[in-house]
Parts: sequence; C-alpha cells; structure tokens
Amino acid sequence: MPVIVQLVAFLLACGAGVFLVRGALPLKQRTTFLSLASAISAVVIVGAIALVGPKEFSSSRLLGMLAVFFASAAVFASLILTQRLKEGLRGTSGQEPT
Amino acid sequence: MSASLATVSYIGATILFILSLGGLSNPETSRRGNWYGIIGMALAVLATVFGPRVTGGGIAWIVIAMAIGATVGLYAAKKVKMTQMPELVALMHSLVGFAACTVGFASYIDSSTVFTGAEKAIHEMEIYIGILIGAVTFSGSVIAFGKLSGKINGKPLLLPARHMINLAGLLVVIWMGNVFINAESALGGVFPLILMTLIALAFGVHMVMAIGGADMPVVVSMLNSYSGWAAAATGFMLSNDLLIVTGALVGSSGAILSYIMCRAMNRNFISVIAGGFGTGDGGSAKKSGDAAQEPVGEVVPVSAVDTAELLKDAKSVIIVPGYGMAVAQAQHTVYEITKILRERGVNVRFGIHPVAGRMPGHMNVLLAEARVPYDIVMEMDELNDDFPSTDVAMVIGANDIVNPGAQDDPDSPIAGMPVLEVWKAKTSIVMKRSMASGYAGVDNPLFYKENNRMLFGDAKKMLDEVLAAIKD
Repeated sequence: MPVIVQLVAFLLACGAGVFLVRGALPLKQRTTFLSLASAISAVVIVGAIALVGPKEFSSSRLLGMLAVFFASAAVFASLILTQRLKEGLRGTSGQEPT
Repeated sequence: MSASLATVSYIGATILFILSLGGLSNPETSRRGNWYGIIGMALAVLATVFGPRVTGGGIAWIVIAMAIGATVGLYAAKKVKMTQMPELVALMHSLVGFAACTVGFASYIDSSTVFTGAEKAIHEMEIYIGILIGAVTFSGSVIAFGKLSGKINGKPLLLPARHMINLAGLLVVIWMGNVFINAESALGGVFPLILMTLIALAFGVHMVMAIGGADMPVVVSMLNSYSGWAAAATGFMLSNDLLIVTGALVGSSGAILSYIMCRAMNRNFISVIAGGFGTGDGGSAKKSGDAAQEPVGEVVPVSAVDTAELLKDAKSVIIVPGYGMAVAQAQHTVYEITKILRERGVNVRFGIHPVAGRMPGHMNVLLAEARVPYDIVMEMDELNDDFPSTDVAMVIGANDIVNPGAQDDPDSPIAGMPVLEVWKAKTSIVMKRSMASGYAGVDNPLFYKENNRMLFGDAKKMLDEVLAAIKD
C-alpha cells in the first residue's frame, strides 16, 4: 500500500484512540486499560515473526528471534496481568452497598 | 495462506483489538474485552506465521522463540504481587520498545526486499524513526521500572542544562538522520544509526530520571503511548497495516490519557514530558537536596484507640488512600472499618487523587479488590469542596497528594498541583510509617497543622488495631 494511504489509516486510528479514552473510559478502568494496551502494542511480534521467516539463515533472523522472544513475553505477561486486574474489578460492578 | 487471507485476518484482528479496548467502557463488555484481545493477538500471529513471508524452515525458530518468551511471561505475570503491578507494566513497555528497536535493526540488515530511489529513502527514514522511538521507549521504561520498584530514587534528577542537553541530542539525531539516509552502502549507514540509538537511549534515561514521584502515573501512561508509536513505526517500516493501525490506536489513547491526567493535575503536558516539574524547579534542586528532612515544627501523634474513637464519633469521614496503603496491603482492613462505620450510620467516602498511587487508577483497583462499593469511591474533584463539612479525614499512606504546599508555596516542586484539602476537615489523621519524606522528596506542612494528628506505624497493623477498637 502506498505510504499516503498508510498515513491516512494511521490518522484515522489515532482518532479512534482519542475517542476511546476521552469519550468512554471510566476512571476505574484506567489501570486495566494501560495493561491491555501494553498487551496490544506487543503486536510488534508480528513484525518480528515476518523477519524470522525467510529461508536463508541470516543475522536479521537472529535479531528477529530475539525480538519475538521479548514480544511474546510481553504479550503473555500483559494479557495475564489484565486478566488478574479484571478479576479484581469484577466484584464491584453489581454490588449492593453493605 | 494467501496474502489476501492474511490481510483479512489482520483486519479481523484490528477490529478485535478496537473492540477489546473499547469494551472497557462498559462493565458488561469489559469482561469479554481481554478475550477479544487474546483472540485478536492469536489471529494476528497465526496469520503471519502461515502467511506469505514465512517459510516452513522459519516456523520452527519462531515457535521456539515464542515458547521461551511465553513461559517467561506467564511465570512472571502469575507470580507478581498486585503491588508490583505498576513496575510490571513499565517492564512490558520496555520489552515492546526493545522488540521494536530490534525489528528496526533486523529490517535494516535484511536484504530480502530491495528498494530503490525515493522508496529507499522513505523506507530508511521509517527504520530510523522506528529505532529511535523504540530505543527511547525501551530505556525510558527501564528507568520507570527502576523508579517504580524502588531501585532508583524517586526524586527527580534535574541536571543544570537539561533542556540544552535534550536539544543538543535532538539536533545530533536529526543531523545523523540526514547522514544515514544519504549513506552509500549499508555499512556506511551503520555508524549514524548506532550513534542515534545511543543518543535515543540516553534521552530515554534522562527524560524519566528528570521526572519526580508525583508524576509517575503520567509517565507510565506516556510510555504506554510511546510503545504504541514504536509499534506503528515498525508497521510503516515493514509495510504492515495491522501494526500501523494498532500502534496508532495504542499510541493515541495513551497520549490522550496522559494529557487528561496532566490537565487534572493542572500541569503543563509539555513540561512533564520535557522533565521536571515545570515551575519552581530552580528552588527544588536546593530543597530536595536534603536527604534527611528535619521536622519544621511539632507533630502530634495519636493512638489507634483514639483514632477509633474519633471515627466512631464522626458523622462524616473521608478516606484518602495512597501508595502506602498498597504497600501495606491494608485495603481489606480499610474495607472492614468502612463497613462497620457505615453500619453505624457514618457517611464514609473515599477521595482518589488522579495521581494517587503509581499508576492511573491504581487506588481504584485496590479498593475494588477489597470490595469497597464503587459508589463511595469518588474522584478528587467530586468531594474536594466537602472537606470543611467533614469531621474526620483519614490519610492512609499518601503524602504529596495532600500537601498544602502545592497551593501555598510557589517554590515547591509540586506547586500548582491540585491536592485533596484534608486540612480543612475538623480533624485530619495522617497514617505514615515515619516522618520520612514522600515519593517526591518534599516536606509536608500538613503534618504540623493544629487539627492534624499522626498515626505512626505500618498501615495494616495500625488499622487492624483501629478495627479492633471500633468493634468494641
């Protein structure tokens, strides 16, 4: 895809991000949001995988593997952390004051 | 798998990510939010692994690297205590930054696709920017991790010429960028690239070292945003639309969150990013130089039993939690006390400062974990005016966020920051382990006020005693 189209997609996504937080994020959920966003930004793993892919063995493959390792750790750790945060918050959504 | 199937999967993954982040706005959908994220990630990874760029031979390597990474990640996330959660999030950001940076280098060395002319220049600029953002994110997050876990001092490191230093670094980076793009061969481009990386790493370190304790929650959300930009930059360099869009989503949402928090603290966004506290940093370098804070007056201690009496006799109570409550894991006892007081007809509310704790929403998570009803957990703006009509304000392990110096003293490093006006209540009780200064290294005039009492000791232990006394 030409760079111009990529830039447009980029800007649209930025707008979506702004809207998500400004319009709709309750204060209680900020920590969970950060944790989930961390997990999602670890999607760079996709880029790293693409670099490990090609047939010939090369230094870029080694670097790619390193990146895959770190990104996978980030993905799994962040998702588990988000799950733990959600479980912590789950108790209050329908709670009657005692 | 054909390229178009991969593209469709990417679109699906993007939609799932948007849904998962957006789902947090609603208690019903937020439960599914994490699952959408997991499925989206799985979809993205599978689409790439079975996609056009990866060959059979490569898959084995990928699986090995992922398996090791996954094991490490799972283990760390399961074992970590909730109080260590902020530093773990910072660590995640550093991993993503590192991965982005590494991918940048790998992409540069990779000779499988060849660009020419203008495309080559654009591609190289994308690599340059990608590595730059990745490096800053990485080193900044590592320092954030250090500060949050206490390994590095919370006080801001304010070098005398720090704005000049940053500016100089920026200029060299731009200059190197020019050299890099005009380099004749791949080898010729390596030097400017490495120099830029070193400067970027140094900038990341410098930037976060210059930010003090009270601003850490903003830093965490800022670094979250940077990790998103790093992912987006990687996307541009690899022409991967999923990365571009997802990275932009994370980057912009983190940026807005940081901006909102800065506004809530009445602090200038740019000055927080540039480091330091914006106003009054000339005075702070001298003042926060004292390691041991000498008490500037007398404090009146109070016992747990007397505290219980004060609480029992009160008609309205506001509790202000801080990081100390998290460290002492006192939130459950706080809930018990709250429950009993409410049964006795006392109006108990919680006042949460936007930067209480070490991460946005930190206090909310702790109180929710302790099953405190969310309708009595209020934001600072909602109840700051109610302190004069409150009988007892209890500050648990918080310091900078209840410091009147922010309002009265223009030289204070936290000057201008909105604080919870606990001293306006009839009586304020501050729970602290000792008279040591808070995270930002600032003395707190609240302690010496007439109507303030200090309840010294470990928060959980003292609160257990208060609870026992209340039950009688």
